[in-house]
Amino acid sequence: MSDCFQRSRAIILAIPVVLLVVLVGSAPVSAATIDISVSGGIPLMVLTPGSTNQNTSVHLNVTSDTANWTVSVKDASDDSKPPSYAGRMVEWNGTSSAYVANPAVLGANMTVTGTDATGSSGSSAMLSSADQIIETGTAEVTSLEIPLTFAQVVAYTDPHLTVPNHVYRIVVTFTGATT
Amino acid sequence: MKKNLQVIISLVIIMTAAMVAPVMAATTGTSVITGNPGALIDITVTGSISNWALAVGSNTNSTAVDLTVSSNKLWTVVVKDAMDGSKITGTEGKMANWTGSAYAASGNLATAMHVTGETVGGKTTGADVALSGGDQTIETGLDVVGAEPMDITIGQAVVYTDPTLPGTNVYRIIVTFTGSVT
Repeated sequence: MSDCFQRSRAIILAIPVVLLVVLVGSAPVSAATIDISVSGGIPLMVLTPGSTNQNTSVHLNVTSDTANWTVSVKDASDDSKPPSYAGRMVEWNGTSSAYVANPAVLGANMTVTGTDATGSSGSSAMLSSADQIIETGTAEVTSLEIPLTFAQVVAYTDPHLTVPNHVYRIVVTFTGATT
Repeated sequence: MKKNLQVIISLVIIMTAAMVAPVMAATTGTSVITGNPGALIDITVTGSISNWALAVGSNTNSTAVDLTVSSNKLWTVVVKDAMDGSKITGTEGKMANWTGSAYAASGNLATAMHVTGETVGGKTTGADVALSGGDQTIETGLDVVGAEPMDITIGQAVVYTDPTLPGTNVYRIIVTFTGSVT
């Protein structure tokens, strides 16, 4: 073998060794984590025709070991809700626990608003099938309680449901993420 | 040798990628929201008729009074003479002698006033009623409506035996509209 060849071989073999040294010498990389929980739902939200109805009884609880976190909301069309109605409350049969075929559907999408808190900046999102950010973290947080506002416009042309145990219903999905 | 080089380069790429790839985590929660708007109707009556030029015969006015209805359930609108202003008993549904501040002890048109609701296709069916002291339906809703306008026609027959009133007295009536969900 020539000297040149031996030198090249030595350099090439040294590369992974150097990288391993760099990796081992660096701080260990651990996954940033976030944990969120929602305090509950709103059974029989007051819905008055001709007005924007707001409810602030639900809050979000966030723990994140990084300042770079977000919480998003969407209507995931759970429980076989027709996806075309994403973001809107749809007639639900409470007796059979299923959405009604040919349902009544509220005309306006629901809006979810996260409030500003220490370590987080809130924003508002009109619900759809896509994730939309309602909270953006600015600091690491532990059990940060964030009030939420659910708003629903109801018009007189949104029918009052007359069948017993039928209500308008939506399932809002919250997703926490770190980056 | 060439194969070794490829393996080494691959290892370098993988290690580099591992070093720069973002570390992500995600968690979810859900909230279930239900509700049902209460049955509600809102009606607005606009307009009135002042110093109506009543002539002997039939008199109608279909432009002065309008009704607007919003309802999230099937509905009706009824009318009656509620005898407001201490109107004299026996004059139910009829225009009575008004001095300007009170009803006189006597004097009223012989014929009851007619109130007719407009029919709006697919939304409401109108009806004509001779006004009385009891509620009578002039609109029957066929669907939920939001600020649906309807013309109200007021009809008043005058006969020769209906006297002309003295001084500044006029014939007067207050018509009460009531909306309800059914």
